Amino acid sequence: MIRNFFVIAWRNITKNKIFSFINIAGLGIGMACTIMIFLWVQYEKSWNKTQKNYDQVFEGFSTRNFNGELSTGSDLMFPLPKAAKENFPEVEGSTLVSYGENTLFTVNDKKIKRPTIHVTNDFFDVFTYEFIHGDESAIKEPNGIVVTESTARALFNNTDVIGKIVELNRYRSVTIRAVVKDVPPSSTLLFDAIVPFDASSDWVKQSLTDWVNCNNRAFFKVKKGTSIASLEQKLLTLIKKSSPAENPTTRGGLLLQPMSKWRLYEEFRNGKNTGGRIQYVNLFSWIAIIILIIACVNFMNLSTARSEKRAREVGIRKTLGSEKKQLLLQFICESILVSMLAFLLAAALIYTGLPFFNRLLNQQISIPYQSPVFWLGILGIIILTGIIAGSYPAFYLSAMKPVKVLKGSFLPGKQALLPRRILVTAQFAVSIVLISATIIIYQQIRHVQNRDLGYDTNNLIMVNATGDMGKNYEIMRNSLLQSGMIEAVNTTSLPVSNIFGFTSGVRWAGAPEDPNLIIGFLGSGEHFADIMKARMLDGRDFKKGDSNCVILNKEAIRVMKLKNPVGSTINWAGRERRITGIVDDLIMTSPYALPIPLMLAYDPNWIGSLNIRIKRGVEVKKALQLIETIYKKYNTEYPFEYTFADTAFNEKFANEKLIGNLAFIFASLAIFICCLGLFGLVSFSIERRTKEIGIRKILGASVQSLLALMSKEFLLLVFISFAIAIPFAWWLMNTWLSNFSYRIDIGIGIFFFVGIITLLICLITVGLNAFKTATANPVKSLRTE
Amino acid sequence: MIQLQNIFKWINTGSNRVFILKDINLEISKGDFVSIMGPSGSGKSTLLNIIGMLDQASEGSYLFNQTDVYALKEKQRSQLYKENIGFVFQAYHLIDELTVYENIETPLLYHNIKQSDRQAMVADILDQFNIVGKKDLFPSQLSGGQQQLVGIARAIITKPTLLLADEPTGNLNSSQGEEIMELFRKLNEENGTTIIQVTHSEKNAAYGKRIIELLDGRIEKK
Ligand SMILES: Nc1ncnc2c1ncn2[C@@H]1O[C@H](COP(=O)(O)OP(=O)(O)O)[C@@H](O)[C@H]1O
Ligand SMILES: [Mg+2]
Repeated sequence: MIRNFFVIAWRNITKNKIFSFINIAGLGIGMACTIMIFLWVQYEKSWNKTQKNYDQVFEGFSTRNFNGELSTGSDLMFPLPKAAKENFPEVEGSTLVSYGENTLFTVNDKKIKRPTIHVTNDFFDVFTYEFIHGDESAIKEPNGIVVTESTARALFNNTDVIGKIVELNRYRSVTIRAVVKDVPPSSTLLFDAIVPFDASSDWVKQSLTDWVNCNNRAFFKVKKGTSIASLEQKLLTLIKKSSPAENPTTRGGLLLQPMSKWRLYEEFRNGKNTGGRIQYVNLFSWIAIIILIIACVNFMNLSTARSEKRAREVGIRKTLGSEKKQLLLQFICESILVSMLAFLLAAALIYTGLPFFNRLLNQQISIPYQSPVFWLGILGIIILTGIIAGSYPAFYLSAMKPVKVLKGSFLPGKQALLPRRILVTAQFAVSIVLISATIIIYQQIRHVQNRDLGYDTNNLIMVNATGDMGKNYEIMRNSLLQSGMIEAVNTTSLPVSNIFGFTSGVRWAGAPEDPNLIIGFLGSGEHFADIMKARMLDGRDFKKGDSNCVILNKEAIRVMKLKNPVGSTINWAGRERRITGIVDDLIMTSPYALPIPLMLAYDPNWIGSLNIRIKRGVEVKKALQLIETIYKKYNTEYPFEYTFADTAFNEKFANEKLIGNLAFIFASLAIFICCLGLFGLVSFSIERRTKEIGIRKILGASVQSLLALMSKEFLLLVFISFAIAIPFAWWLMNTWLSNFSYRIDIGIGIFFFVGIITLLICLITVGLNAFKTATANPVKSLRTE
Repeated sequence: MIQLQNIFKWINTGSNRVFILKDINLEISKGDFVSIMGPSGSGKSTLLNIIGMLDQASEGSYLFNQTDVYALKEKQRSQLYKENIGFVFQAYHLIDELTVYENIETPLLYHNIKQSDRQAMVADILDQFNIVGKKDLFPSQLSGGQQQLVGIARAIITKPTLLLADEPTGNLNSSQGEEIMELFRKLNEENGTTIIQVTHSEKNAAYGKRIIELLDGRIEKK
C-alpha cells in the first residue's frame, strides 16, 4: 500500500513541475537554513565541553558600583583563589589566570608573537588538556612553561621540545616542560602557551597580598552538590575580611558563573546575568524555524489551491473502500517524499553554503558526519517538515465527500480560500518584520559609525611599544616628523582604542562623599589633543616640560562636579596634580554607550603605545614603511606591530554587523520563499480564470485593467500583512534598540520604504505570471475550453 | 437485501427547502437486476448514492441485509460498504496517475489483500475482460469504452454483492454499450451479483429484470 502511495506521489511530483519546484525549492531553502542554524547552535553550545571538569568549574565575577551604575566584571584579586581553596573545603581547586596577552618568544634568531595566558601554578587543578609530552607538573617549576603543539612546531619544527629554553618578551628565560594539543577554537581560554606568573617579579610579590587591585580572572573547581549561593557569600565575606578598607569590590556582590554559561550568557546588567549571545542564538533558531514554516505554508497553500484534481482522486478512492486515515497516510507520505527531495536540495545548499556561513560567523562549524544524533536530527527534520507541510492539506483533502467531488461541477479550490488568505498574509507579515528589522539594524550601525567620537580615527596608527622607547622617543619623533609624511606623534600608556584602567582613588578639595566615583585613566605624553584631533574645551594640551598634570574630559568634570577646574589640583596615586585642560568627551569604549569620565595623566615615560598620525593624502603603505624603518632602527628588540585606530574601532561593530548580515540573509530568503508561494498561487488562480480573461479581452479590456484584476486580490493581502507587521516590527526593534544608549529613533519613513519594496516585489511576482495571460491571444484560451 | 422506507432527501437553499427525493419506498432482493430511469434532474443519481451509502437520506430508514444503515457508526458503515458495494460511473473516474493494472489493484489494497493474491486476481480479471495488453497504459491512453471496462473490472474485483452503475454507458457508443450490458447480465446470472443501474436508454434498461421510473423525486410505477 505504501509503495502504491509513493508511486502516485512520485508521478504527481513529476507531472506538476512548477508546483513541485516551488515546494521543493522553498522547503529545501528552509531546511538548509534550519540545519545550518542548528549546527551553529550546537557549536555554540559545545563551547568548553572538552574540559573534564565542565560541570564543576566556575568563574568569579564581582559586581561593583560605577558612578551609580552596577557593573559586573570577572577581574578579581590575586590572592583570592588560593585563599578560597585553603578556607573552604568545597573548593577542590582554584586558579588565577590573566586575560591573555601577546608574548614575544625568542629562540636564537627566531622571534614570534603568540597569545599566552599567565596562570598560578594550580592551573591544572581546574583546567584539563591533552598532553603530548610532559604533564601537569610542568608549571610547578617557577620557570617551566607549557606550549601547544603548533607553537612547538613554529619554534622548533617538531613537538619533542621538552627542556628547550625560550626567552619571553626579551627578559624572562623559561624552559618548556610540557606540550599539549592545540586548544579547540571553541574554548574560553585560548592560548598558544601557558606561562606561570613570574614569582620573582616585584609585581607578583606585591600582588600576593593585594586584596584591592583586580587584574586577573579567578576560577574555582567546586565539589559536586555544593550550594553555589552560599559559596558566593563565603567568598564575599572572605574578600571583605581580607581587604584593608572598604572599596567598590567589598561593597559589591560576588557571583560564580558555571562553565556551561561562559559562552552564551556573558552579559550582566545591574549585577544580574541577563543572557547575552544566547538571545541571538535563540532568535535565529526561531527565525530558521519560521522560514521553514513559511515554506511549509507554501506547500499547504498550493496543495489546497490545486485540490480540484486531488479531490476527484479522494472521491474515487473513497468509493473503492478507502478509509479516511488511509487517505491521510497517503497525503502525508506524499509530503514526506517532497520533504526528502527538499532535503537533497538542502544538503547541496549546506555543502556549498557552509564555508560562506563560517566566514560570516567567523567560526569553524563542520558537518558532524560521524554523529548518529546528527542524522537522527536530520531524519526528524525531514519527517517533521513533511508532517507539518502535509497535515493541513491531508486533513482538508481526505475530508472531501465523494458525492460532492465526483459530480464534476464542484470547485474545491474555491473552498479553504479564507485559511489560504490568512496564511499568505501571515507569510508576508513575517517577511515584512524581517525586512524592517534588517533595515533598522543597518541604520543603527551606520548611525553609530557616524557618531562624533570627539576624536579622529582616520590615519591614526597605534604601534605597540614598551617603556624602553622613552630613551629614543625624541629622536624617533623627530625623524618621523621630518619625513613630511607624519602629522603628529605621541605616546600613551595603552592603545587609545579602549580604556582599560579605572580608579576610585581621585581626591580633591571639596570632593563629595561618593564612594562609588570611578574614573577611567590613561597615561599620556605631550600633544595628546593634537594627535587625537580632540577638542580642548578649556585650558591647554600637555606640552614638553609639564609635570604632574592632568587633563579631564567633560564627563569627568560633570561627575566630579568641579567648578573652575582648570588650574585647580587633584590628588591621585600619591601625587598632587594640576588640571591643565578640559577635553571634549571621547568615545573610546563602547560606541553604543554614553561617554565615560576620563582622566589623562601626563607621564612621558609611561609608554604602551606609540601613536602616529599620518598626513592626509600620504600613501599609507609608504608611511608604514617609513615608520617601520625608523622603529626598527631604534627598537631592535621588539617586533613592529601596529593597529589602525579606525580598524580597532570598527571591530566594536562586529557583533551588530553579524546580526545585520544574518538578518539580511534570512529576510531575503523569507521573502523569496513567500514570492515562490505567491507565484504558485497566482498561476493557479490565473489558470482557473483563463476563460474569464479571454472573454474580458474580447470585450475590450486593456492589458493594464487585466493585470489589475489579477493582482488586486493578492495586493490586498499584502496591505493587510503590512498593517499587521508594522506595529510588531516597531515594538521588536524598539526593544532591540533599548540595548544601546546611543541609538536611532525609528522613523515612519522606514516602514514606507519597506512597504514600497514589498509591494514592488509582489507586483513583479504577480506580473511575471499575469502578463503572459493578459497579452495572450484570447481566441486560443477560449478554444481550449 | 435492500429496504428503503419513506426516504426523503432535501437540500436547504437559503430559507427554501428543495426536495430531491420524496417518500421513496423500495425493496430490492438478492440477485435482482434493476434499471432506474427518468428525466434528468429527477433524482436518480441521488437515489443511487443513497443506496450506495455515499450520501444520506434526510429522513426515512434504510435496511441493508437487515442492518439499519443509519444506526451504524461511520466506521461500521464503511466496513459494510467495503464488503458489499462496487460503483461504476458515467465519467469512469479512473485515477489518471495510475496505470490500468494499478487502478484495478487499488481496491484490493484497501481490502488488505496479500501481494501475491492481488497479482493473481488482477491477472484473472484482465484476462476475463480481454485487456491484458493494456495493463501498463494510463487511462488517458484508452478509449472511452476501454476506460469503462477498466472501471467495471475495478468495481467487481473485490466481488461485491451489489454493483451500482450510474449511466455506465452514457458516454459510449451503442456497440460499446451493448458489450457492457452483456457483461452486466453475465455478472448477474453467473455470479449472482445484484445490480442497480441508472440509464436513459430503453434498450439498456431492458437488460434489467425490472425498471423503476423516477419523476420529480417520486417513484412512478414499478
Ligand atoms: N448538492 C446539491 N445541491 C443542489 N442541488 C442538488 C444537489 N444534489 C442534487 N441536486 C439537485 O437535485 C436534483 C436531482 O439530481 P440528480 O440526483 O443528480 O438527478 P439525475 O441523476 O436524475 O439527473 C437536480 O435538480 C439537482 O440539481
Ligand atoms: Mg445523474
